[in-house]
Amino acid sequence: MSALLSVKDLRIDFVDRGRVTNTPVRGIDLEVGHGEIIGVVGESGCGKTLTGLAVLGLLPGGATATGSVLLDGGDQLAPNAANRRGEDVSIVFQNPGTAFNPVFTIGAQLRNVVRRHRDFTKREEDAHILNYLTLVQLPDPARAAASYPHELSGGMLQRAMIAMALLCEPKLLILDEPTTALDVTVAKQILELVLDLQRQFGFSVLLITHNLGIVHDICDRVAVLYAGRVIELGETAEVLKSPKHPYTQGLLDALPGNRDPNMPLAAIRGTVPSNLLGITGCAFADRCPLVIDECRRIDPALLESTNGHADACIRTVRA
Amino acid sequence: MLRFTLKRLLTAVVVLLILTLVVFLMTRLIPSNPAIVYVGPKAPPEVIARVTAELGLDRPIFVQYFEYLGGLFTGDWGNSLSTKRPVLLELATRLPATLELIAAAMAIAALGGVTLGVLAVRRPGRILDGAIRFLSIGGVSMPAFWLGLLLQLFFVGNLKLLPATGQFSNALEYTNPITPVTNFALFDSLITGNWAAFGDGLQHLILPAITLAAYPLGLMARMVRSAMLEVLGQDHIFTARAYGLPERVVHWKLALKNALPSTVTVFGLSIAYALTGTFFVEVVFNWPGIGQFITAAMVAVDYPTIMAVTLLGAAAYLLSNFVVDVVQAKIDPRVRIS
Amino acid sequence: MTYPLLPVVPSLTPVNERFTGLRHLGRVLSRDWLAAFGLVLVVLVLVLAVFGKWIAPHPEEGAGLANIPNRNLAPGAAHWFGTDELGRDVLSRVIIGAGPALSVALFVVVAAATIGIVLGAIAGYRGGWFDTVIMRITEFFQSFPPLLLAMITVALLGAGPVNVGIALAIAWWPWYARIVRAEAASLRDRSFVEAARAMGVPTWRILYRHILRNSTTPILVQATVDIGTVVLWVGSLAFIGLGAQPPSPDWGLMVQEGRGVILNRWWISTFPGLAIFVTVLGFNLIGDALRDILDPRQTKR
Repeated sequence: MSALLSVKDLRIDFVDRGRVTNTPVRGIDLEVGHGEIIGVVGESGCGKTLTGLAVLGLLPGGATATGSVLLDGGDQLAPNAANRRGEDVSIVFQNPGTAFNPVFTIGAQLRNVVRRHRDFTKREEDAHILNYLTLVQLPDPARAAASYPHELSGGMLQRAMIAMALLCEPKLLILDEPTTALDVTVAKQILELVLDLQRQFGFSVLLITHNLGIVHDICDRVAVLYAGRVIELGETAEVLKSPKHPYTQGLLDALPGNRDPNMPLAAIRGTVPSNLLGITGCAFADRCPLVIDECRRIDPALLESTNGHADACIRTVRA
Repeated sequence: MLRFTLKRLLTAVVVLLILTLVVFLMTRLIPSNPAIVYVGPKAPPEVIARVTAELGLDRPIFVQYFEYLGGLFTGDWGNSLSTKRPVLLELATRLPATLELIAAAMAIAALGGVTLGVLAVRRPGRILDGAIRFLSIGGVSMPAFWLGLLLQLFFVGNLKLLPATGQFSNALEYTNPITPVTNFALFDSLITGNWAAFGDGLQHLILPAITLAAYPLGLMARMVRSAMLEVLGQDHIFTARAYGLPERVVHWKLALKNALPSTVTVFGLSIAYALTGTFFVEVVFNWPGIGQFITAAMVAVDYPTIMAVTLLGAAAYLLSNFVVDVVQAKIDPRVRIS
Repeated sequence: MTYPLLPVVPSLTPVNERFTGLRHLGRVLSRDWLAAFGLVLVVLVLVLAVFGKWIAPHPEEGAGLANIPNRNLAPGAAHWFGTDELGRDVLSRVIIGAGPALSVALFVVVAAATIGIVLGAIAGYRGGWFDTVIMRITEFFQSFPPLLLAMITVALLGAGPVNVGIALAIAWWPWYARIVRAEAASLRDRSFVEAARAMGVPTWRILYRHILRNSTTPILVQATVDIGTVVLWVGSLAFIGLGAQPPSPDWGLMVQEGRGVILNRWWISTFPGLAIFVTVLGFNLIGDALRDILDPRQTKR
């Protein structure tokens, strides 16, 4: 079975007047299968959002991507990727309060998307929009369609955003920190809704988050990113239970629930390098408790050790 | 909405009252004697004394003020010192021509300003943006009276395309006279189907309207550009792009509506500007509006006219502010007026 | 089991370098050719204003001396801008006119800024009834088209350049008062001002050191744009007969003098009008670039 999404050696450079100023994504390989839910985790600045945007085919100004991003055979780095955005792949953003245009009704904004990708009559558009607003379990879909964003709560807006994302039956749904801006209870409902809809429609999900709890709850597989690289990849349960990379280990150790409550929290010392230009060796070397001299010389590759579980640490013992 | 309107109305009345008082006191404190303005400087002393009494200038100043105020409400705004006819009548007969000119200019300014402003942000910092920036700053730097003369020089003198001055050709009065309906001459020629007059009027309107539009057009282009730049950096624009909406829709439909509130504010300000700017344009183009009458009145210290202009200016300013606020609330659902 | 939120290690984002005042101006000019062009225009006009007497080919005609035998000459080698109806060299008139135009503008801006700064600073710093009164007055002024206000004031005071200056300063000070007042009000309760007050530093000194210095940039930007606008308005008032009177070398007045013959002798009106345009354009171009300082949101040009 070929993968739905295949990202190969994706690099993203920020270029200012012909000079590369930063390389926040430094060669990412990732595959997402049909109907699979994959989590991409990492700290802020690890390149997870940029990777999501590259998959969407929409990079911010000044960023250029190399490598390949193929979505169901379509090149997402090509200029015509805009035709697939909102149709083959769509995205749900972190902050539903600002992701909607404040001066148009929710219905009007959903209509723009339908109109862009489908050739419906106005009546068909209305029915289609209402159908999807019902699907995301908004209490009063007709009223929601007629509302302006400021009249709805964050949770309702996020539901409307999910409706917008699913309007054209995408094959891949990108969720970029979909619950970070929401209350814990609302967040839980939103995630349950996504799982529910995923079972119903069978689309794939690329979940970008820094919350390992969410990954644990809904993801089939997880990719851990650090400094623009995938440093560990595998089945969620496997990775969370027996992390191979010291960074993943550190992340898990930093979770309060994993520690003896009487011990202080073990934060990873140091910070993510702010600029990733000209890094040699392992980017985590300066913060790694297990660092050896070779770490600063050898650029570690992502290698499989056990069945489907791969990591990028030269000290991992592989069979 | 009703409360908002009433509140604004009350503020307006207070502002206008204070304004009349201030200007009235100023007209009485200035060195020139209105009676002398009225009868001319060479009149014998007894004539001046008689006119002073006739105009009530010998009575206590506050009595004069309250009489003036009473007149304002009953439609007696005093007689112009230069034409000796009621000021209100003088202004009312000329106002339609001025309003037609302002309306045409503001339409040009709004269309042109919004178009240029939106085009400028397509590729900020590039050649088109620079050219539009130069054009709009040039527009606000241009003395209207000089621009008018340049346009006359070019379109009338060199190309012989358009008429230089006036609102209609003189011959029109005999060949195709306009039947007055609303007293807005161009509008009347349109609704009575007087096409000869309408075409002639349009030709006369083009140059003065462009001249008057230059400043508000530049102002609006600048404002739309900076408002658009701010909006285009917002999350919801990114959402629109993330859903594949074409740049045309993103700029002209989505971003523009967000940029409209600040655009409307500038538009309102520009109308108030145009009310003053039109004086100069009307002088240059010999336009039969209030401009020439008012500038002449100012030079002649025709104080009843000056008082009336003061009230007119302030009322127009307050009215345009009010309309701006109402329109803002219509555009932006988050704004509630109260 | 559900994990709580992962503690996020703050990543260091590079802080944008900040530039202020003159250094910023230099930077703006170096990458913004329109602003640089504006500076060239302004310098040109300033040179004419200061050294006009020595630059003008016929300074006495520039000041108003008639030279009837030379009347109505078209632009040519002897008179680059031609001569007017009284035979005066238009080029000299335009050059000599730069001095009065800029001095009136400078007077208006300095006077308006001084009144506005003093009243605005006291209003914002003191608060209370004084603040209320000053703010009501500025609102009152701002509920009226400023050029019309100036026209009416000149009409009542009597035409002439001095009265024009006074009228424009009256119409203008509220804008400065509001800038300074906002700044003063926002700084009033800041700890360094409270500390100064607690140490017994005199009020005028606090106003000067902490409040005025912090509003220098917005005031300078405002003043730059305003000089251009004042030149425009002085010309406009003269054009309708409310400003300088003949034979003053006022640009607006000169445009008015050639207005009737624009189709026959275009040069008489065209060049003085061009002088106004160039001056106003120069100041506006610089002011537009300087606005970046006030409004950092719009730096991406």
